[in-house]
Amino acid sequence: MRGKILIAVAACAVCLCACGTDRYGALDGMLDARYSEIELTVTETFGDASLESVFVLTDAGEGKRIAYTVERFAALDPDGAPAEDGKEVLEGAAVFRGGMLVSSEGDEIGLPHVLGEGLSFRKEYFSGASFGKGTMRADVTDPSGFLGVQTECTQMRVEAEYGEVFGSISIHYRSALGSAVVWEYIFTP
Amino acid sequence: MRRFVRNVSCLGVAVLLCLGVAVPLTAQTAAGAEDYYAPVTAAGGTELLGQLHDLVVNTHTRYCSYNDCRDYATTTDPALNGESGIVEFYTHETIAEYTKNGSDAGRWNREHVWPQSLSGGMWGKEGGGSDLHHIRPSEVKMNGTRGNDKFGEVPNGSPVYSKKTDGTNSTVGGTHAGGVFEPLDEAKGDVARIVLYVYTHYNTYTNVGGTTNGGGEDRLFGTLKLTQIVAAASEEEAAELLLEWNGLDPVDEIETTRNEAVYRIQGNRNPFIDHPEYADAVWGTRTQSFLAAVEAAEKAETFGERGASLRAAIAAYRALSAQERAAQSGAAEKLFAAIAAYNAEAAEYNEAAKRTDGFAVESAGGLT
Repeated sequence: MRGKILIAVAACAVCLCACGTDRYGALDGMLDARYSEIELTVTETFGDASLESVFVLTDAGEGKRIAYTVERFAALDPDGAPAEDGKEVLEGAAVFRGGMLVSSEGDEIGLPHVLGEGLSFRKEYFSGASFGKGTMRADVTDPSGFLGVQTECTQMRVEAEYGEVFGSISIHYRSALGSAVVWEYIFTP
Repeated sequence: MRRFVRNVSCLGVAVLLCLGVAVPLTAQTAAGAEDYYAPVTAAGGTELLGQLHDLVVNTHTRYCSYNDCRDYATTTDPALNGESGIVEFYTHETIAEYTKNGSDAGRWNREHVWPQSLSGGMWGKEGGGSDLHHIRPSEVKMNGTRGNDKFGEVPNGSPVYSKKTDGTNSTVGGTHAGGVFEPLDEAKGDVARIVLYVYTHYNTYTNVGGTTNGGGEDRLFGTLKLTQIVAAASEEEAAELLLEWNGLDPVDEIETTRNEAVYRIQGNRNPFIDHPEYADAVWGTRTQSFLAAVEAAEKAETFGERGASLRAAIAAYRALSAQERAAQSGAAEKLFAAIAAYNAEAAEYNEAAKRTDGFAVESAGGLT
């Protein structure tokens, strides 16, 4: 009897461990799914003023096309008519193959020439994670690891909504400058 | 010896002035005028109006008589080109002789630019009614025909002529209809600057933001409104017309000559002749909007608030005329400095956003 109880407890422990690992592995697996379009909206807030950038990722043959519309604060000129909201909009698109920038058109915004590894949902990157039905929330303790790029930021949090694949991922953090930044991913299967 | 000669010279000038003889005046306007306006520190609005009121009344050391307006006319309004007589106010022609007889065509008498009957009983022939900055010589028939017409725009009015001594028409001095008189363009600025002087001086200090009625008796001061003298539906509309005339007809030598002459007699100056931009600064809605916008931008506490207020200030600045901009150069410098600071801050935020976007693309690009 005592032996059967011990086996049952051990089985439950193994099962729990496996379930925890599977959750993060399942999320990582969703990142490998094919999406017809991924839209990323980046909003950075400086006090009471914000800038919004929208990037739309689509397949482009052997590579990826990233079309963008980004806001910048317009410089004021006493002799010119200022933009009503104080912003100017830059637009363009770039194509990457093998993670390398191969072509671009439109307004120059300083895109990277080499893409990173992308997001990664490894358990060691998070703390205080909570999982609900199709939702995951956690503090991000290793932002560079999670984002796949070297970055300095604090107070990063992630919220994901998913079914069999991702619906959305929201990433919030505070930049080194002190601005509040939000990355909002919308996935279209 | 030099002091003796100087004293005799001053006495001689004084004698000549009393005899109504035109005395050439040396041009000391620049230095004297700038020292005169040292107490004026406000940028515009009621604060400036009040300071101007206090200045012109505090420096008004001699309130002239109505006879002084006759006796000093050849000093304050000498005929042009060295001719004998006076320069007529509305036509700028030379008129040789004075008359107190209203039927003597071709001679001049004393014109109340702001008629007694439109002063609300404030003056007859003293105080505002005998201020040398106000009373101008005018050809008798010209004066009589203008009568107590308000000033305004008369698009289809009848011409008003000065007369020669034989009673025939001499020169057109304006047009009138329906109780409204419109002077020629070359006299409109003169009219505007006299009206604004009278309004500024003879409104009691509580009406114009001042602190005193100076050395004049309080009974000489009262309530004046621009609509008493300008045909307009509102004070704002009346001010707008006077500002338009002030800009249309710049200060000329006739005005600067008499401003200096009256200054030496009465002790005060017409500030709107020395500084025509004061008119816009006090009454100009464009100038007021600009100054208010610059003040709002200075008080803005956040980046977003600064941007919004600076955009409003730029719009107000662009609406100013060249003359108004020159008059508000101090406020404009403040605006330019604030714009430079804002642009530096905006550039810093744009660089930050560029870095963030770069990270986002670098990260997102790793997704399939």
